[in-house]
Amino acid sequence: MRRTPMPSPVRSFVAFALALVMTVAVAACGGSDTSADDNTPVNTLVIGAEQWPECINPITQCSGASWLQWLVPIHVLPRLTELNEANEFVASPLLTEMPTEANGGVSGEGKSFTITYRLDPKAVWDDGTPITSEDVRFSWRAVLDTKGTLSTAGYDKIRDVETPDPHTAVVRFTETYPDWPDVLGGYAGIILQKSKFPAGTDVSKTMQTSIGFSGGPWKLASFSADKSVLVPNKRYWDPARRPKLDRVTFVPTTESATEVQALKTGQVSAIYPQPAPDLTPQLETSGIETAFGVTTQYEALFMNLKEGRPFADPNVREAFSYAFDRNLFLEDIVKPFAPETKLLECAAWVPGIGPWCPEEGGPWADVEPDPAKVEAAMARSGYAKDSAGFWAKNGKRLVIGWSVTSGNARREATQAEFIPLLAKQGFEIRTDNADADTFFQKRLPAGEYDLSMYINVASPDPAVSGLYGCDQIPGPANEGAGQNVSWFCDPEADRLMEVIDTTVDEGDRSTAVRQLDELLRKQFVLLPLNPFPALAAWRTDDVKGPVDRFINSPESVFWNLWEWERA
Amino acid sequence: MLRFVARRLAWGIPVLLAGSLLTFVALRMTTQPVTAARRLRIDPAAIARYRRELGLDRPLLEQYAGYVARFFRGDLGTSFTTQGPVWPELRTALVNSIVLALVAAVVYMAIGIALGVVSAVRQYSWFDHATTGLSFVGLSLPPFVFGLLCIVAVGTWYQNLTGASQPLLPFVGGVYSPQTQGFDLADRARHLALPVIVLSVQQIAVYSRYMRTGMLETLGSDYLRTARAKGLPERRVIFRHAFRNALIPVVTFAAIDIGALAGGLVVTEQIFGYQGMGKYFVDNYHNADYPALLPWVMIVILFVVAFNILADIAYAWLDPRIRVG
Amino acid sequence: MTIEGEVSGSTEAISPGRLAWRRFRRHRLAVVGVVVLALITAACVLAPFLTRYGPNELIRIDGAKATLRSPGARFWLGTNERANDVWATVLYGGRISLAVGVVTALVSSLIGTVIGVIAGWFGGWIDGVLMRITDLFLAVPFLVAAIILSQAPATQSWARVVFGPPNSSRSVVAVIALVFWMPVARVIRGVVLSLKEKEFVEAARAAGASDTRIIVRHLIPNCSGQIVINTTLSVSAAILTESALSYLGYGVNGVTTPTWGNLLNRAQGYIEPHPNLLLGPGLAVIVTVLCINFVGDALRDALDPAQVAS
Repeated sequence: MRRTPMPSPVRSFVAFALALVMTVAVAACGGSDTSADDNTPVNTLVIGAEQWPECINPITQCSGASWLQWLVPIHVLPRLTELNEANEFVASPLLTEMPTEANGGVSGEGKSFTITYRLDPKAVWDDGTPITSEDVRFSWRAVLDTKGTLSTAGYDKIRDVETPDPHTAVVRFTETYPDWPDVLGGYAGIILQKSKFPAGTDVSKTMQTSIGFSGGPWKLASFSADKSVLVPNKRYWDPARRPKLDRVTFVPTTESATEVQALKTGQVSAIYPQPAPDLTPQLETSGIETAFGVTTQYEALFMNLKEGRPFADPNVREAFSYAFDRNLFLEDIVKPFAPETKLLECAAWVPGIGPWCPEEGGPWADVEPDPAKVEAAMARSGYAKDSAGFWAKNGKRLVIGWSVTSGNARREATQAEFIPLLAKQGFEIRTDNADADTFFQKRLPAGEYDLSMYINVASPDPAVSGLYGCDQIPGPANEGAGQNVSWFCDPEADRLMEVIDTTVDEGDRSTAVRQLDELLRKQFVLLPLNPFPALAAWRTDDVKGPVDRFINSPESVFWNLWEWERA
Repeated sequence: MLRFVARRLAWGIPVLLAGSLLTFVALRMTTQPVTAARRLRIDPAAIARYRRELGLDRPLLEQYAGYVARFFRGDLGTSFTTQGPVWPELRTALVNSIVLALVAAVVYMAIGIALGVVSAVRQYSWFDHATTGLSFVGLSLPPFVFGLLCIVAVGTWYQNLTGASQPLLPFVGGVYSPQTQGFDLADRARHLALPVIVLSVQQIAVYSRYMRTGMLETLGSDYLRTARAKGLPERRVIFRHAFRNALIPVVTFAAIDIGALAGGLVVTEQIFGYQGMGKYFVDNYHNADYPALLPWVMIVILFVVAFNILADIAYAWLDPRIRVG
Repeated sequence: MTIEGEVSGSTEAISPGRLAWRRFRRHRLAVVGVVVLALITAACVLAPFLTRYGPNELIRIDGAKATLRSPGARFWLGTNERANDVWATVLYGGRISLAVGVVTALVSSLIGTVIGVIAGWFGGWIDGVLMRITDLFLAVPFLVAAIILSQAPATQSWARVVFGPPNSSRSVVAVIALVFWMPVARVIRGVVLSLKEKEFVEAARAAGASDTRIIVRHLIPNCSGQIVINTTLSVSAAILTESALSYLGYGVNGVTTPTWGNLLNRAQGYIEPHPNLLLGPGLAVIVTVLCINFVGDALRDALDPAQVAS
């Protein structure tokens, strides 16, 4: 080959290409350090959000996402009752006092069960008009009548909301409804400004990317797929909650690796990620502070009691419960990233969230690994260990499929560690994982699993009939939308759930909850693991104030955003 | 020519329908919309009622036919999750993806073609080997690894090295920075930088190899030998004939390649939170939002079919002209 | 058929195989690549002899899980978050990744060659239909195809039979192969179309040879260069795609079977405090893919006679 000189047209082409690239690079790098633009006040914060809702309508499908609540409604929309740091229902600034039996706020029973709310005359919307009982009534009807409402539980138990005067709302129920604080209040309840919805408006089409009014400490300046901006509501009437910051911007940081890097590099000042084993070591950097809390989430090994499945047999359930070493699980899997976590000993209630589950000594406290009990229980059902050491009956080996959401490192690590350990006890377990969407949308509602491991949400209100009621098993009666994916059915349990659902007295309710808990434990319906922690991390040179004050609340750490300051 | 285009377009319709039907069936097999979040206060009756209102209980083919008919009427429907129209979000995603694709294409095609030409002209030289080596490293990295490395490099490593308060290039906020309001070209360019780099690193290798191959083929061809024998200067031989000829397969490949980018770059967009077509699909897939997903599939397939036709036209157009000249 | 030997300047006849090898040898990087690939494959195959621990073995030291230990004398690449020896996971993982890569490349080349030959040889409406099917597969975005093929087995039993259980090696091979065959089909079709008109095919037809005989005896050997090149490069592409699938959550089951792809995915969160988790599988992937690409590139130069500038 001859060495050829590079011809000048090609040379100039190359030069042009390089020049183009350089120009773009210079444009990009120029001014990268002046992140504080002219139009940005310095007293602001940027916070990362791990999930981002499609829209911000607090009534329809979008409202199912926790992160929707934490981004907009808890800051912008008023509610009647709210949760305090100890997860107790208390009056919000909208009310003058919390309705109780003593002050006549809670009265009657059965068909005459009534809650009377007294609104604070000082409470106003951001346009100056007072928040009245008409708004309360309108909000109730909006939840009931809007197409695509996420949940009408409780709202359909109201016969009417009377408005004798603008500052009194009388809510008349059709039956005793102990969970009344969650209606138009509590964690997800909201009050809308009636005057902003002219008659005939379809509420489901509104509030997609903006909410044009505010009854909370903040006002929503803008919302898009890229960010959500809150600014203080100048007209907010409660002086204790006037925001100290001039602006708060939330941005989506959906990849957990990127989220941590964003915090470390200062692109966001605070995050509230789901705790994971690979997060904690990365957050141990100077300049970043973390706080752990316990909210209403709990993780458990859920079993499928459907006919024909291995766990339809109570003896198998019992044997498995005595074979799985929960303490080892806590030590090896959970404590490495959340050292303060304890085991959960109740079926569907979490200590510290209401009085329903004791801190010590819940029903599962006596469930410890016990090979003798495993053998005894399996023998009762006619199982014997085959030549390979696995349980088998009539020549057929017992095989259990364990399903978790694929890609979840913590759960896959659990499977990796415990499948061999359970094999030693004679259980042949196979992984049967699926993508989170397929798992929750298709397989759980169809009962296509044996054993699964996921997080459920408890609530300050102890009613669990949606989860364990016989009529809630997905089927033709509820058009496949039932939530009892354990396929558990027991008439005595149904009776106890009925009591819980209709008793207001806390003592009586507590007794019924305890009895239901014991029943679930006797039948080994599930194996509770641990209350799932919450984690907040923030930059100490950016954020000041009681950042972790609400870390134990489902409202999340952002509930008291008004108290946060720029460091 | 017109008949050729018309015939290819006609063939595009069944591809469009088959592709969207396939996707619809796949979605139905693996997801179910309007599944409630795992909370206790869910009311099955409300869910069931909503599903009926959305027509989810009607036969599959009837639902599919409905979506397709509406698409061709220009009505892209309303999303299950937001109850709002599908088109605005889809349009934003499309625009963002096109911007990213075009900017990156300019960068990597310019660099890739230049490198390929030089490599071919100096075949087996140290430059050839060096470019081969480096460009192949680009091809050998899984994109999410490279993306993550870029993030750490421009972030913590850069800041530890220089003590800066902000990273060299931003990787949060998607298209703009959180503080930006409205349109800001510099900010947009900065946010494009990392996705463009990640994409370019892979593609430069591909294009430089294609160009090199094409150049080598034409540099050794008979009619070039004739041109040289006729006494034409080497410069002219390389640029007027070899380069142009070699560009043909690269251009046709580029057309198809860029058309494929309409589907978005799922991995890259996920890492940087860039609101493109890839992220749009993933987000709506999680919600099983069929009205949002089917127009997406149609548009993506339309782009691919259209760019395929463009590539064939380009090939047919470029080739005879050069043979004559 | 022999070709004049150009390199040495003499006119002695050299077989095309020898000539290709000589051209290949000139690519030093490719030669190194072949050696390195052989070493890597050998290491993975001989994994039990080169590792002290199993890939899924939970290592305990004094009763405590030995998670996230730094590389040292005992654990050459350290241990990961599940207290497995990283060196062991990389070697055993390599078995799966390499196997997936090779099998995928072979399957997709087979499918692509068959379709390309049929389309090119028979032409007409058969060609039209097959090319439109190719277009369809090219038009459907990769992610959609991945979701279809990897999650369908979770809910449909027929899919489980055909593609294997979800997140298994078999389903991953199916996913990647079904989206990789199209370029091969196109190329082979082009080659067949151009060969169809050549004299030796006319001669064979005149001699009364059947279609099958012509295809098998004449066409496919002439395509072999292209097939080899494509298959080689497909292996590297398949290995990278396996990583991408793991990132998206559709890769091989990470609980029971480490592969380079799912190891990389899990290592993301540990990139700063424990980069060895990323470096182990990462370097393995880079080096393997790099070597395969060098070899493929050199093969293209060697097997395609037009590729040499005079």
